[in-house]
Amino acid sequence: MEGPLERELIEQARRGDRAACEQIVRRKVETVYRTARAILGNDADADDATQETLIGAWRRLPSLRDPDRFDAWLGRITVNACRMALRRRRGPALVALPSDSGHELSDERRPGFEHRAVTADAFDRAFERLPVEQRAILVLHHRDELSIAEVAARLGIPEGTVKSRLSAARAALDRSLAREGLR
Amino acid sequence: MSLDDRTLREHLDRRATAGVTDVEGIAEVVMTRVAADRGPWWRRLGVRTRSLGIAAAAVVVIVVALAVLPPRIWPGPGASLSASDPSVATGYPADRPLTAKELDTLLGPSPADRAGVVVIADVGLEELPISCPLPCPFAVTLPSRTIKVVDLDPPVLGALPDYDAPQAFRVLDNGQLGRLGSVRPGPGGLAWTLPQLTAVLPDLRGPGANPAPQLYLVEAWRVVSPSAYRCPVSLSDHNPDFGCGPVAWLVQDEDSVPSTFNSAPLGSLRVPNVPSEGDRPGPVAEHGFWLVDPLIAQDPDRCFLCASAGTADLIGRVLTLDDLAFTPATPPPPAYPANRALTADEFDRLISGDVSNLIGRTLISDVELRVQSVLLCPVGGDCPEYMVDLPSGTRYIQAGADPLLPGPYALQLREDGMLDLLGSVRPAPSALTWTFGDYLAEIQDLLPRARLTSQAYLVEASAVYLAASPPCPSRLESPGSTFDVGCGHAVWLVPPGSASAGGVLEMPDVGVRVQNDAPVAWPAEDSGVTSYFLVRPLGVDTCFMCTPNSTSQLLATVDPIDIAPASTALPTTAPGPTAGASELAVEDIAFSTESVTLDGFETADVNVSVTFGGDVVQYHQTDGSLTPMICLERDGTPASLGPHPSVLSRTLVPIGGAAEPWVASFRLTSGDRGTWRVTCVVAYDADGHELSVYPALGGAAPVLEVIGTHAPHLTMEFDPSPAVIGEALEVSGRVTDEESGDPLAGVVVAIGQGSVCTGGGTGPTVATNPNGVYTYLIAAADDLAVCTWISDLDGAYPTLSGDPIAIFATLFAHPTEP
Repeated sequence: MEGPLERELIEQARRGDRAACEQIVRRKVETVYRTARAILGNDADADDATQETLIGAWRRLPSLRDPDRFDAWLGRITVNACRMALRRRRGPALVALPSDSGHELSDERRPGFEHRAVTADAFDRAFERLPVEQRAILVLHHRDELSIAEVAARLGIPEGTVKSRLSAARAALDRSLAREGLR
Repeated sequence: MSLDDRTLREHLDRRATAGVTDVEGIAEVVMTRVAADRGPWWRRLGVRTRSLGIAAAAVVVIVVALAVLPPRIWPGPGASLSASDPSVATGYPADRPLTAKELDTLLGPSPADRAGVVVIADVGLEELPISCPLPCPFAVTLPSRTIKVVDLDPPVLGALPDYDAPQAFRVLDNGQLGRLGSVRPGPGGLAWTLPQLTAVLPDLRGPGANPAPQLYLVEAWRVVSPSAYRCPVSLSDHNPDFGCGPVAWLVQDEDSVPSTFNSAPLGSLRVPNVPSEGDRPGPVAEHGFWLVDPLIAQDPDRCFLCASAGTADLIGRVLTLDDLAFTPATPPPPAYPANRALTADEFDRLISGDVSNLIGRTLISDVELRVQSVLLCPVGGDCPEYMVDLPSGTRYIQAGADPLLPGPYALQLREDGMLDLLGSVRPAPSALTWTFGDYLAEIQDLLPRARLTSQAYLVEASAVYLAASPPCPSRLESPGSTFDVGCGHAVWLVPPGSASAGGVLEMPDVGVRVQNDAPVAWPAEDSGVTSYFLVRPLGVDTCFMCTPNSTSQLLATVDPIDIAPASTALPTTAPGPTAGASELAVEDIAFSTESVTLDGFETADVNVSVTFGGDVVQYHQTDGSLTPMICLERDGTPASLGPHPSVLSRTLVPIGGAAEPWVASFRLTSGDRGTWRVTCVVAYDADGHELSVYPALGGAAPVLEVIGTHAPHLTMEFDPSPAVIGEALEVSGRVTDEESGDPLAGVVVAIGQGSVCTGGGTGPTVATNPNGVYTYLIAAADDLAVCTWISDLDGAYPTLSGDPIAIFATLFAHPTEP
């Protein structure tokens, strides 16, 4: 999301231009969905969160004073939508028993991938024990490859806090993996 | 195992891209919803800002109240509405839809008996995962069943139901539900008054009077002309509903029923008069709740005697609970623990009463567990990993098993009021408790991965023990080995009633070997008592005297408890504060002072108060992450501010009634010098709707000036740098006077790593020497952030909530990074 065209689109959408909104939605839906999918881990919740994010952004767009901060602003709405999606989910997540069918990221499928012991199932179970804030910070930094400063802007917290939370999230993930017998 | 960054990224990327959802499809749905969205309410009033909207709305409300509200709703100036007025409808359907549980009870065991009834319920529509021609089926999950829903309101191409809205259904002859459409709730409840509805109709009416996307429930009188009108020639061939014969209207109240029918009654809504369906009454004046679909074309050439206010299709009449003679059955609850787990309410009642006989006992309950936020960990105490929200408050749970497996959960109450988690319990197919035979069959299916099964099973069985203690096999005697089921007295669970009194002398033919040092009170030697045993399947490779493939870890016994049945009466008003909830807003933000002056290690407590409009909820009892909070940000880049935080965050605490401000207290230091502004206020209402306000972005935030002198400056270095994971790491640095550069001796510096660096962490402390130098040795470095800080509570890092702690300086760094 950069460049004068983008800024102009945001300005237009802020003024209620649905065509501009549509362009923004089409440009952002993939990014929002992938982030939500990584945090939430399933299609249905990610779908809901993506819709709520983009609808929420449309409704709250007039409150965005600085179009240059649109990405950070949208990212924060995404994390909130993910949190709400988890709250709406009734009951604990269903976690399948480990089985032989649990696929593993192998060297054949992922050249250079060295941690064959961590199956996708085990990682997902471990990851989904983390609170959404920790999931989000891991996804933003490690998957979306945002810098500490960018994560801080996106979550509205200071960089030092991002670092400490990131560290806590990694530690929590390690502990959670250990509970999968992976330590 | 600590994942490296690349592995972590690959796993996260896999999660992100594993979905099969067509994101372009999501974009289409979003745009459909955007097209139907008319923006915030104040924009619909034609004003650009919310404050102007409030003013405009207030004027409109007053004018409308004076002009149109009937005496029974607003008696006029100087009069008050009587709460006991029996004509004021409460409950369903006036105020709220049915809950899923109520709908379940209403439908009963034979839903077809209610065929033709129109109901409105707040249930989740689930799209059935099949491709189908329109109308496409849905399903709704009710407490006792899943019921199929046929869509009687086939959507316009590309349009989807409003899943968040209540849904209107007609019970079909086959017992399924026919979905009539989504229902838009009225401004004061579920039902609209006629003036309210006719006031919004012009907004909805588009070119050609397109059908509105949602249905409306209106409380009104339905009147029909006493005689059939002759049809105008232009309507004689078509439009029978709005054409000739008896003509029907919805009118505001009984007083509005006209004595003559030469024209449409004032303020009425023309509806069809088709008496052929059971829920459409004949030509009599009748009060009721009418489900209407507004905006049927009212072209004068097509609509005969139409009211100026509008026309609507009449979908059906929604009967009240009294009309339905709905008295929910209250069957006795199934026995605990044989057939069911304790509900969360029952569990709460038990552990909130006299618990003298409950300490250490195992209870199985359907509570929902969630991860405890590290931000709420008590300073210096054990941090519970999980929590459960109960009506009497939040209880914390020490980890003991994996809670994210499906519930119910086996829990034990501790003397300190916390709970121990024994594990997730897998219910039997038709009850909570497994029969012995079913359990044997189940564990055969689980093998050979039984060791990986984290769920426990409740089994009704008898326990017997081996009277003699045979010698242990040599392969099990190797010192240092641990065995799930080892030597000594062997203990089995056997089918209930099959145990003979006293110990057995040989292995039973049918039995499940359990460990002989299980943490349960064993039956006396002369008994083979039957009980409910909580067990977890195990493998058999380290089991002495095990029956084939049937070894289990015995976790506890579970005693039956007589539970008083919970009331199943229907609430008469909407649950929770949702019905009256108003839109959240921040009305005022103020610092307790405009400036403070601090020198060296002086501190000052400054409050920030926030006045909200709307019902902000102090959510920390149920979800710490939803507690209202406020952020302050200081001018300047983080780098220019050195080791002094540039953003401060605190939770907001209510200090009085709903209209009173919420307050956050910040303990400031000389290092906090500069200009602070409120950059965020985040709060939630009872439904979890978020209010996020960023006052500083608009330049309207109040300002606090902090004048600080001689602030302590903190540095941190690593040796070696970068650190070698697993080897010793020396953390050192200096504390100096920021202005003079003079070393500060005797300053207590805290050092932490990993989760210690989070709010509420407590780290070891060291004092600076006369040169202002501190040194701390980490025995084995790992790839976690290291933090150092100086606070006014030695070793403690402030939390978002709790008493404020001053931070004079703080630093973070990753020791493995060059």
